Amino acid sequence: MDTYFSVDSDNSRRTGLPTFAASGGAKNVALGLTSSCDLARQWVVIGLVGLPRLVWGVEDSPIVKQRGDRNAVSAGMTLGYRF
Amino acid sequence: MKTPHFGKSATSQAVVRVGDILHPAAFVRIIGVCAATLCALEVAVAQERPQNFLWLGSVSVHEFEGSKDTVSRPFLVGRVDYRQYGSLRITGGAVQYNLLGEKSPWSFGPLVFVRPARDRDVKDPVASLMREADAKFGAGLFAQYWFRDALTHGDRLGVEVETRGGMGNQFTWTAFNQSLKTGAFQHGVTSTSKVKIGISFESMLTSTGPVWA
Repeated sequence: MDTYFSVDSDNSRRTGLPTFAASGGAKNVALGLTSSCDLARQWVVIGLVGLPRLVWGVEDSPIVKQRGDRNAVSAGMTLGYRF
Repeated sequence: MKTPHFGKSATSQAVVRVGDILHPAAFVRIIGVCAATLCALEVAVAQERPQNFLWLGSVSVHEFEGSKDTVSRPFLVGRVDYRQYGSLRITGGAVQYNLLGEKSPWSFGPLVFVRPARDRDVKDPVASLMREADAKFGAGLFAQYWFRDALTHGDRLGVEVETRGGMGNQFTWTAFNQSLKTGAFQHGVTSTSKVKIGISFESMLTSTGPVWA
């Protein structure tokens, strides 16, 4: 977590963002939705939407607060094979 | 509405997480919610008997955790059950070998993982100025347990602890609510939370107890 959310003095100097030390604790909570349809006996096509939210201090990182968004929506499509 | 059958193997499948073995830098961005989402689906579709599976697809995800920019990434998730010899799981940023097989609510075994790099090739002009973080590979152990009918009939509550050599530990819980089948379609809902507990073996040696990062 420290690698991705902390801003040390060197990165602060590079970017102009304030320093920030990410602490432990919950990183995210998320809700996922899926819908699938069988194409054949072993093949399935799947659509998915993910709604994660950074929580409990991580969202206070300037990387998130000033340059990003604590909420993220992910969506995708996949082909599955069961055997 | 058809009530899905949840075999033990299906419950243990639900901890599979999504990753992108084709592009390790994408791991962190899609491990969270997409993982649990696909896992929920696999639980739902495994109605009659344990099944191995392989999923290949593409997801639109944020460029890095906390980013407002999105990119499209391929991903691969899979599981092969060797019965009494255990099972192999491709679980996003990690590959796990479950020594207990898929018929037990317990899972335990070794894992190898990759921590994705953060390079400067990101859309945000300020984030791109940050120092690069190299990708790291490591090994550790994992343990999981899935409760049946924990909150309501048909749902699942799973807990997992991973220790990752040199990179701290991780606790994850996933509550899976029963899916809904309508005609040819199967729908699923999953909620999940990931906590980095930050107890390192090194810190325990040098203190009187666990140190929480």
